[in-house]
Amino acid sequence: MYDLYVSFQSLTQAQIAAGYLRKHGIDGKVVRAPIALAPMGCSFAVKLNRNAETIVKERLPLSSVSGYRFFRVGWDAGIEEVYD
Amino acid sequence: LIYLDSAATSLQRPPEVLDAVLNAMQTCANLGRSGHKPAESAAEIAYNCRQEAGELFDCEPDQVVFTMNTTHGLNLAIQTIIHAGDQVVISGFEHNAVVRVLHKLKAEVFIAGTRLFDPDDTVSAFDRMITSETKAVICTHVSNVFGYILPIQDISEICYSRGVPLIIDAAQSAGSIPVLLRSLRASYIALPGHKGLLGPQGTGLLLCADTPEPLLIGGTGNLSKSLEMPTYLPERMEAGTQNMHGIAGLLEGIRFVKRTGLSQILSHEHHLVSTLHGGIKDLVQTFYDTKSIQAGVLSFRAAGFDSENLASMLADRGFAVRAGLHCAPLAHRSAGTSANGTVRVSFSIFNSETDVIVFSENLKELLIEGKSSARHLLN
Repeated sequence: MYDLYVSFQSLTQAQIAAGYLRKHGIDGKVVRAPIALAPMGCSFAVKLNRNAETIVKERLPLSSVSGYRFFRVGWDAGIEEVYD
Repeated sequence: LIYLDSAATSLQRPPEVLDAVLNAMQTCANLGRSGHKPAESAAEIAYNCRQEAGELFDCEPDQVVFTMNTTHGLNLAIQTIIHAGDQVVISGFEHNAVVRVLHKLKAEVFIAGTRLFDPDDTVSAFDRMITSETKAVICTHVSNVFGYILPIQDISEICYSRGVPLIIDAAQSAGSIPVLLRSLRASYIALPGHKGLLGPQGTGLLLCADTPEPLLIGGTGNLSKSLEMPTYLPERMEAGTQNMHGIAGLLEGIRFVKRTGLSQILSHEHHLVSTLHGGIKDLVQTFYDTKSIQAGVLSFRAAGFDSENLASMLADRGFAVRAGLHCAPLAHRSAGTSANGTVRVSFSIFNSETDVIVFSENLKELLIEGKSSARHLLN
């Protein structure tokens, strides 16, 4: 099992992104990023419903949000970057 | 008590502010440090505050940095740009929050515009004094002593056309006059949370178009393995636990100001200033702008009365005003009031015309009593 995260260095950027996603009908919760993402410089993230993956992958909802990285994070802390 | 010292800090506040502070004390943990509900509540309030402030001051939420007060914000901005020997142009109405910092930094300071209520002179003085050697311009938006609204947009245009960074002290304008980071093209705007925005003391904001150097280094809840502070705003500037209780109150203060409207607030305060001027101008020397709008501050001095003593006598009668030099000796030097200072009356949206009438009557009585006892002593 895994979860989807759009990750940021900054809490405020994650909050801006969450608001932006919400406007596009994608609900996500701002959380502290899994520690597995720390080496990538990601401290905060918007945790997404897995059904949102296809929509987010189209990039459009995030086009005005900079500095994010998109990950699948396994419950065993395995990570896979969806795209950079 | 009739509180007429809102230029120093607010005393009357919307009840929502008080409720928010109490609620935050019961529900908010440390901003950005943990993933539990109380930490999430803090994060949500902080973000809402940045967002509401961003809308009011025309900037993005991540350009809004929490500070302790205006002085803190000015220190961050000034100490980022100015170093020993740098040339700085300031107005003749700056507060010690600017002047003392520049003195400590050993900057070379040029004072532009010392004529009160004369925006044309102010603009032409800045125009003359800003040169290719100028490292930065620092200018107050409104004089805390006299309520003079400086022509900040014109000064901003001069700075922009010459590529000189502008730092604005919006201590007296935020919450009653539009302060717009984008259109003013300022590098930094420092403002208080506890004056015109009606938030708690210990709150302020620094609006950042550039990235300043932090004064405090420490934990931010992110990039914890790095020994360096984050490079991005606002976290770069917010080491240590933030004043979440204050920020919660500030959020509600900003919402109140937005609901009420800046033009309504300025118009109300200016009406009170005009009414007061009309009521006391034959008794004392008032510093009143007859040509344009003055912010909600009126200074006056009474012949034969020490300003601090007069304020003390007014306090005994239940009026809270401020006297002396108001931490702005430069402004008093510009206006020629250094020797005795002035008595300053300053209003908020919560003052009424009745406050002004009762104050004017009491001032009149005091002056008559004072002159009468002075004559008695002389006889």
